[in-house]
Amino acid sequence: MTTTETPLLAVHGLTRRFGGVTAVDDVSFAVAPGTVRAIIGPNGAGKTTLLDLMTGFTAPDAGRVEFAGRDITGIRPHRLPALGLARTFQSARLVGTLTVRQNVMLGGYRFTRARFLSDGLRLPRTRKEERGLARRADELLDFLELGGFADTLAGDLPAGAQRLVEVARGLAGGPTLLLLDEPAAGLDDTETSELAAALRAVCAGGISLVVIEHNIELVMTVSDRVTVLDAGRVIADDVPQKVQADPAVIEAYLGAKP
Amino acid sequence: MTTREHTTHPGAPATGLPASRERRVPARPVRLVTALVAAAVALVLPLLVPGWLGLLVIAGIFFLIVLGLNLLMGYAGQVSLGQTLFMALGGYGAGLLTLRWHWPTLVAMIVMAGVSAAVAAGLGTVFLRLRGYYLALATLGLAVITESLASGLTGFTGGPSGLVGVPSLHLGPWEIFSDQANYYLLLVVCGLGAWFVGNLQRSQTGRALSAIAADPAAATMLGINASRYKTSAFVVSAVYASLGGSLYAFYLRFISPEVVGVTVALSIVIMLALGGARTLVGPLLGALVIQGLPEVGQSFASWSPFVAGVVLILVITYLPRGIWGTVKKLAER
Repeated sequence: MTTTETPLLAVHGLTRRFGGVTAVDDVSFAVAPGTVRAIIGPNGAGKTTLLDLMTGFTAPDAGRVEFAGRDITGIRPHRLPALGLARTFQSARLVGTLTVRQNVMLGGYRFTRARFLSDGLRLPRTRKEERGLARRADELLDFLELGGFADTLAGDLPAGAQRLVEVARGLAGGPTLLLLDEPAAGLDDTETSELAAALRAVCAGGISLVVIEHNIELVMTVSDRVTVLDAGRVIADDVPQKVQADPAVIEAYLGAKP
Repeated sequence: MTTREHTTHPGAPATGLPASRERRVPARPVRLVTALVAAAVALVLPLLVPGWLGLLVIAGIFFLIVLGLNLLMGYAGQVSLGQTLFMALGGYGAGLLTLRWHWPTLVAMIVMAGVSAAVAAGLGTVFLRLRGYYLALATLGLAVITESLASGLTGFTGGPSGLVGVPSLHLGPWEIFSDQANYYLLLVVCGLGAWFVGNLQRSQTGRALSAIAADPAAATMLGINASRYKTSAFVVSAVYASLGGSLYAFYLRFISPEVVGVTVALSIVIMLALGGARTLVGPLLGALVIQGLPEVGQSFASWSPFVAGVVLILVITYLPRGIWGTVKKLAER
């Protein structure tokens, strides 16, 4: 069993080159169970590529990813939810033709055993699973204060609410680690602080988070540790307060965005 | 397959969520009443319009085929212009098995549905890797091959003049011969077919298919094996088309290359787009309109492909949800 010293997620020397550009260059970090790790950096620092490498969407040129003591480097992404790893995307990618509840029910996919025949014939197993999924989805929507949107088509929601629904959908799979790609992008200040509160609550429930983010405010409020990437390399890895004061970080940020 | 239940979420950490509450979605009685009214109308229809039975049988056969395509194209978002391949397998296969080898008709129909499923499973693994236009073109290739094989393999299929003298379907002691008998048979088969697709649509399978259509990468990250689902949807659509083909051959006791021609392959897709994909009524409307057009006026029959083309352009341009999809959207307001 995992002790507090054994990281839930460990990334060792991940490297990925695209042509002559090294998008991710020898990146290592670890995430302890029940903690929040933020990954920040200027545009083009390689944050999303790093996430793609961790979730099998892109194969690394070098390096290794371990999750819950298991090597998941280059795993086929659809196997990750069953291991307890969920991910959201940079722009909310809900199914616009389904309602909010249906989207969150879809998040519980890894727990569904019913398939074509059982679903098509509406066998008792399907009915039972449907009830459980709907109940779980409603719980999660209430938890994130989205209950009022349950029967709205996901495509009709404002951007901020879509982000939160995506978090709910990620949680519906019962993950131990949730990877969030810029969850605050496009949110206003109120929505961002709601998101921060939701993320803290999720973390308090024992779920670890990796948050890729631009919004420094959010990073400072929610994270336990921060990794700063610049041009694909790690230039800082520390607690938020120290990272904020780090001259190299200030230069990377202020130098890039005067 | 494990028997593990998902409701307790094994392995999931305690999230301190509030205790569960049961929530019921209403509106079920409305759906039930609608279904009962539709069933009653369908039952008495032969008495009201006896002259239309032949048309209704053919429309029913195409309704079945379009329902299957709806699963693949409407829900999973994968175009197939090649459903006539499976119609041909069902139609010619059942025709030959019964005519040449005297198989029982029902057995021939079921065996050919199985053959079609196997062929779709094999083709699906290759074809469904393609996307958008490429998939459309590749499946159009299937339709072209199907038509040319149907007329080319003269010794086997009877060539351009077709396979004549196919027996009627026998169900136990009954021979499904008359228009009326075929109508009621189609009513049962289409009812079951629509029930199956409707069940899929409102369950996790339907949601998974919609997710694949909307965003394959995001679907993958939910644990959905997209290629397996696409192949399964293709297999189900092939079974529907195969059954449709067999029923066609048994009803008209004849099948020819024209029945499984490229024009028919296209018109199946047109029926779906016209009636409204992602609905159950849409395929029925589409089949009725496209099959009914030539019947509206005999003098008009030779112009019906032209009218169908114009209607398609108008619908795609102004009613992209199809007829029924638009009606539903308006009713929601």
